[in-house]
Amino acid sequence: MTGVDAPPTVAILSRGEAEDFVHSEVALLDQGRHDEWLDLFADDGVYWVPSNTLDHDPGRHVSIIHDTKEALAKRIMRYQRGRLVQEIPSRTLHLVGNVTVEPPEPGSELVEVRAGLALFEVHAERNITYPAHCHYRLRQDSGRWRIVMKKVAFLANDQYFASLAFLF
Amino acid sequence: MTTTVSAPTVPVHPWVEPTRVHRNAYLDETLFEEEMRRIYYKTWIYVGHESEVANAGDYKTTFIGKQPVIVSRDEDGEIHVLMNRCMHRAATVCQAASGNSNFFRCEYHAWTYRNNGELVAPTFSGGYDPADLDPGKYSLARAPRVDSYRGLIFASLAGEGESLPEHLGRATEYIDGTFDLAPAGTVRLGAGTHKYSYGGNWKLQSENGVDGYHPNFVHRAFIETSHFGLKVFGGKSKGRAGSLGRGHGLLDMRPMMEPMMRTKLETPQGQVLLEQLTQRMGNRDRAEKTILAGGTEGYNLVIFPNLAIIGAQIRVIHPRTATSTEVELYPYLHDGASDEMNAQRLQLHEAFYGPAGGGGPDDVEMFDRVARGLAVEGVEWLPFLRGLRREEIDGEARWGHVTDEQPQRGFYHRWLELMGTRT
Repeated sequence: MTGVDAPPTVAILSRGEAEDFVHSEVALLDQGRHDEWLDLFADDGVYWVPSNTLDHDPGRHVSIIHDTKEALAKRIMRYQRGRLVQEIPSRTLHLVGNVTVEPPEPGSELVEVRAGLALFEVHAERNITYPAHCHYRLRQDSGRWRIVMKKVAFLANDQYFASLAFLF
Repeated sequence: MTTTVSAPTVPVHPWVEPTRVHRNAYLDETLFEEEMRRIYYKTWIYVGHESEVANAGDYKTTFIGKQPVIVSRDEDGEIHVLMNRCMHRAATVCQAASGNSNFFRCEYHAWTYRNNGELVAPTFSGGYDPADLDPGKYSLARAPRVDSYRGLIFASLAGEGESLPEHLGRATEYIDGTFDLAPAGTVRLGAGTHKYSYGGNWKLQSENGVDGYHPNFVHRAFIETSHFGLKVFGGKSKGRAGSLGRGHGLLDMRPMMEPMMRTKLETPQGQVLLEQLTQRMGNRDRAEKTILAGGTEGYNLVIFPNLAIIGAQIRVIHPRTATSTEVELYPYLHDGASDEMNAQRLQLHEAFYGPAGGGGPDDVEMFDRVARGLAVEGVEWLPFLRGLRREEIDGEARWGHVTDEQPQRGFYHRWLELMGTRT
């Protein structure tokens, strides 16, 4: 980067476009189309579910999930094999609202999208709602928006759970 | 060492015998209360790590069995384990999981205690005649015995009994083996927790932490998608399962893990660690052996009745009722290690453990299935017979194949000593 101003080619999402992106992203999860969902991630993408608090340094504090794209691919492979806890897959509905968009900082190509999430999970005899703050960091790559980070901080992440064997 | 069948040397309980356990041992609330009294309120129970109360005024709250306690460090640096119960009308005096405070104030009628447990004064003390209420006799109740080993703080609610070193016995060798791996020789918590719960008895988790029979089945999906491989817990594995005496159990994968540990040793990070440990220990051979053993990357340790050190975690099992249990996993970091090394420990932990880990939820799923199956009447007993006739006797310890049930038999041997014959 040579100049002080951001290059004029930096892509920006409108709020409507961000909503469309997030709606179709969570629909892939609800429909069990995990491979297509994984494909939304950039190669250096990270999927993060903090533990105990809504925000922390994942290098110094344990996360519930802190997956690189490679680890996420393995996680999805395990889900698809359907062993044990996944023998009965969780059925989910992701309800997303309160979407806001922050354009890239000067010199950056990363768009920050935040949303509120109400995730309903039904698994065997269990029926739980997980309210959560979502934070997406997106980058345009060959005309497609890719997820550089999806962070889901759910409000009850300091409580005891039997298992969280689904994707937020 | 000789090979022979071990003879039962403890009294027979109607629901627990040396090689089998009755379904009621997992279901009966009266027995659960007896376990609280005879095990949890008698032996040494882990209440926290010194790093959680590193500074004067630091405190954390936890449980000894069902009883809520506060672990606090006073201005003189002394650690207290106080019953979290106001001496007036029984409300808990401390609500936070952890913090720093010189005082604990009960919010019900504002009785205030110093962090060493002393009552400052009852509120509006003019209403009490000193002949009726001597404030000196209203300090918070406390665990009469507190001791620690390598930073692990234990408390006993019994005024007398065996010492902590007696209780830990041969488990210390394996605590040392894993904490010695930290460049500074000490570890710390403070990296958060994983928490999960299940609708079954606490002993299921104690049994499972050193059960080498289940991983290739319960965790097959994880094992197949990792570098770990099915051999470690396979029929031809050279790994061992052991009961260490005093109820403690060990699952020893080291014979199968050494090639992986050697590869790690030969990385630049491994060589830095070798230098650090050599300097601290003053002995390169010992440093190398410590690294190749891999600490709790090479073995799982369960300390009777409800503590485990496994992988990068300290695991605490909280019994709630006969059929409900809460579990906390505290990843521990290595003092003196780089941030990058400690971040790798967290990653290693997250991959398998916790409520969304690659293996943890499957164990919990099995506990739920066991809890459901235990409802069957007419099939009353769970046999712990595996490897009974290929046990190696080694003092108090018993060793067998990694898939054998020595650790569980050893656990129930100690359980029987403490619970005795039911009257």
